[in-house]
Amino acid sequence: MQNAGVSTFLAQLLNGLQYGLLLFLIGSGLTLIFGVMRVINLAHGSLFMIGAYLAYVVAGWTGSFWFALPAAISGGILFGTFLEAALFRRFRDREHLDQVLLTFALILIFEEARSILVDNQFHSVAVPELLDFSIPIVGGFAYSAYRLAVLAVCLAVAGLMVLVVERTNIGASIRAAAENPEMVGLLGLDARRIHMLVFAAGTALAMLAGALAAPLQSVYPNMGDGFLILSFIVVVIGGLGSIGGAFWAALLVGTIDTLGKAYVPQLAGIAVCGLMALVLLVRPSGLFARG
Amino acid sequence: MTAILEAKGLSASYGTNLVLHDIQIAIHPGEVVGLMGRNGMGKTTLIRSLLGLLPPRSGSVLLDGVDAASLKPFQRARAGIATVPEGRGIFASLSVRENLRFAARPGGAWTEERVLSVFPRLAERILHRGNHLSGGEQQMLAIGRALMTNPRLMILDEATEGLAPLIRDEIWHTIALVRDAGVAILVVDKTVSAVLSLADRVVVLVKGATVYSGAPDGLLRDPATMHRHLGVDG
Ligand SMILES: Nc1ncnc2c1ncn2[C@@H]1O[C@H](COP(=O)(O)OP(=O)(O)O)[C@@H](O)[C@H]1O
Ligand SMILES: [Mg+2]
Repeated sequence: MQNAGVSTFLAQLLNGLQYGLLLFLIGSGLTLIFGVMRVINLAHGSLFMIGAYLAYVVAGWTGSFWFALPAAISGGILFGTFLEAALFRRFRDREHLDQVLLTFALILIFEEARSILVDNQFHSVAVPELLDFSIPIVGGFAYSAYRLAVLAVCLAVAGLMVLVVERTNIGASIRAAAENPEMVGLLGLDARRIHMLVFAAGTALAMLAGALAAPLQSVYPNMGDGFLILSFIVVVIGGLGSIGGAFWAALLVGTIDTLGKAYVPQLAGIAVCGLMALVLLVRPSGLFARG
Repeated sequence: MTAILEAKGLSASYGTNLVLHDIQIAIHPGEVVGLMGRNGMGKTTLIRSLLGLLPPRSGSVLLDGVDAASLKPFQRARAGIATVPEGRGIFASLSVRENLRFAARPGGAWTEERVLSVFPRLAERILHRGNHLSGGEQQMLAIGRALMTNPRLMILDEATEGLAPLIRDEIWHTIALVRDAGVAILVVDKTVSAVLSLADRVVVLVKGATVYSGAPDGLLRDPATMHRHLGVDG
């Protein structure tokens, strides 16, 4: 009895961390796009949905889930580059209300396109055979190998992102562009290319998150909505534009949301929102913002 | 010799407010030009027009003799123009090293080692973030960062503003060093004596129009202009 309780808790904790890491893949793009381009992208959650459907379609066509991951990443880079050049570039200097209207329209367009190109049904995507087993962790407690793999992949991607943003010249130019785009131009760097890079990377990460999540939950219409709201909360708690902040905030939000739903279902919906409200009151620049 | 950067009959405005009238200015390779005038006379606005940050109302900006209207600021920078802007433009969240490195354009004489040997204080603070530097250190970093792009022309807007006298001297010393290295300079500064002793030519702006353009000597022989437009009594 005691043991079952501990096992359940461990499983929920791991689920929470894994959920949080998926949130990071979405929220990190959102926070960078906001920080660097000053664009609010409500359609960022729809990119997650598109990634999940792409995984469903590609896995169906090819018979193997493994093709879905490179498809989501490369598709995301192409799609993000297109979206930036065709739309977001033109909305950078516009009012936030214009951006909200544009990206809300995109949500509707993306869902309509999904309805036309695929359908309106729920679909499940099988866990890849290679990882379709459980790994014993402690005592009698075992955990899904696929979920552990998702955890590892997300951690690796997160580490890579933090490394690129915090430790490379490209990362320095991204941070510089977030701070003072005019000065970046005066030093001879094309801010537009930095924007394109950030937007393409953010899109690819959100679509990768969707593909990774496809075998964990069903693929269904509007599946990005919940992720959009939680990843906005992650962005606010982590501090706008802060990658490191988004990382810790995502783990916090993912864990609290998952444990909350498991143990205090009555409060689950508001626990995370309460946390955000508290952060906004006490540290409006974000719990993990520097300086 | 073709000027690196030149304004021809340049007028510019903020909205309907005309701020520059028919300005003529040229900076040739290796030359130091001083741009002078009291506060609010249009010096920074002229620099912004030259850099492509403010489109001309009429007239034109030439880069190496060619109309630069279609060139964005980053393209003008890549053509060899480095800017130390008013307010310094240091990136607060980047370390000194990152500020120096991310915009570096190698291939010239200026390397990180050389910049750090000119500014040993920056070497001591190499891992500090921009917002943890003193005003003087930020100014040195702004100049060092501009040098890292290996420019042909460096534009300095109020580079000694708000600094202690000793640090000012150090900045002027460095500007002279940059000039000696063959970099052309357009310098805006309130320290009239320093500008006059460094510059090959000076341009004095009053309300966005040129009232003097020529050798520093000519200005020194004109105490009325010195007094009225530069606030110097002699
Ligand atoms: N962004 C701006 N918008 C409107 N007017 C401006 C702006 N910047 C400067 N001005 C006006 O243009 C004139 C010239 O300013 P500026 O070029 O900054 O002068 P200086 O650099 O010589 O002190 C001033 O009258 C100033 O008020
Ligand atoms: Mg000025």
